[in-house]
Amino acid sequence: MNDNKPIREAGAEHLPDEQLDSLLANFRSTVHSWSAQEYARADMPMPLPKRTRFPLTPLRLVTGLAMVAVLVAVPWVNHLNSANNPPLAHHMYVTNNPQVATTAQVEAQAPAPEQETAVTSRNLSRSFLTAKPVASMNDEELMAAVDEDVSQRSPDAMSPLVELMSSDGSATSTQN
Amino acid sequence: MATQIIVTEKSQRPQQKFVAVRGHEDAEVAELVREFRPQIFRFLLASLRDRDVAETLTQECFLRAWRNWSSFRGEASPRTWLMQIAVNLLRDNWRSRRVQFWRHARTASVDLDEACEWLPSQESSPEQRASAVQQVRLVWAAVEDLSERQRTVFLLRFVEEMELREIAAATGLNEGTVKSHLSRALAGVRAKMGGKR
Repeated sequence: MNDNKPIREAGAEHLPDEQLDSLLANFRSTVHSWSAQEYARADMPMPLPKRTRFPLTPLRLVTGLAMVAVLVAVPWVNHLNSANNPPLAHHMYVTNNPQVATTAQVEAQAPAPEQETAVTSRNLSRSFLTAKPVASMNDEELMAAVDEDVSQRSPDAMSPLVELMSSDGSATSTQN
Repeated sequence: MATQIIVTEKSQRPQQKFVAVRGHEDAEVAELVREFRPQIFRFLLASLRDRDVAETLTQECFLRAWRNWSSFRGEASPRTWLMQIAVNLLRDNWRSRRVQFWRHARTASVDLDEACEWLPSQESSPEQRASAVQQVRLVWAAVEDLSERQRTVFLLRFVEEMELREIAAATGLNEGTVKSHLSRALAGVRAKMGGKR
């Protein structure tokens, strides 16, 4: 025993005599020898498993598989919906997005630019069909046709001003 | 980061002091296993007197050490820290009712002769050796009569030669309680020796 002081402190009532020290030393030697013999017979592999930086625990495995499934399934379902029922998909898209719905409503009320362009071109083509060919017109006839086309298409916002103009181009006074 | 493990010896006593620089944790724990596994196994074997259970708990002890090595702050020595894990495992083992049945069954049938025969032959005559073996057998019997906590404290002090503060750290008791347990354990041994002498 290297330091008997703690023992004496601990066993103040029964101070260990030399015989007790010898007895405890024998006991310790016996345990050490017995343990060494049993340790040599024991089959104990290194208890440390291989540590990986990101161990694949079951929870992590399940979470990863679920994320992969979601990433694959969402585009696939969207594709199926749009392929099978495009109007429904568009309706669902518009319904689920209030901003898109508002924009669509405004667009529905306003005339489509394509429609306006189509009407204008149809009128022009009709006038060209009814008019003489440009090559056969003299200068006066050509200018008259141009004036007719231009003058007939005044913007709505300018109509009050147009009414104020006389047919010969002079302004009419309303302050009588 | 490199691993630096410094082992110092103090008066021929296996008092290892590890100064470990964090880094290769597996290498550090492997070094712990090589250094302290025989000692942990010895303590568990002396406590349980069952080689199979001692092997299992020794492996479990180092597995826990490996898992919790990052939380080891070095406030106590690695030996004390490992002993603390071993004591906890021992306590869990004792608390298990299923194991308790087998423990009682095995303890009743354990053969102490094998353990007592490993006395180093320092005695000059066969009579003296037989007397020493008989005394060791009485110590084993006295240890068997101790409570679990007294037995743990007794073995840590007189087999593992741990200091009182180390025993206190390993068992979670304060030093006064450790002294009290040691006193009672020694009284038990002396009573057993006096009665049989």
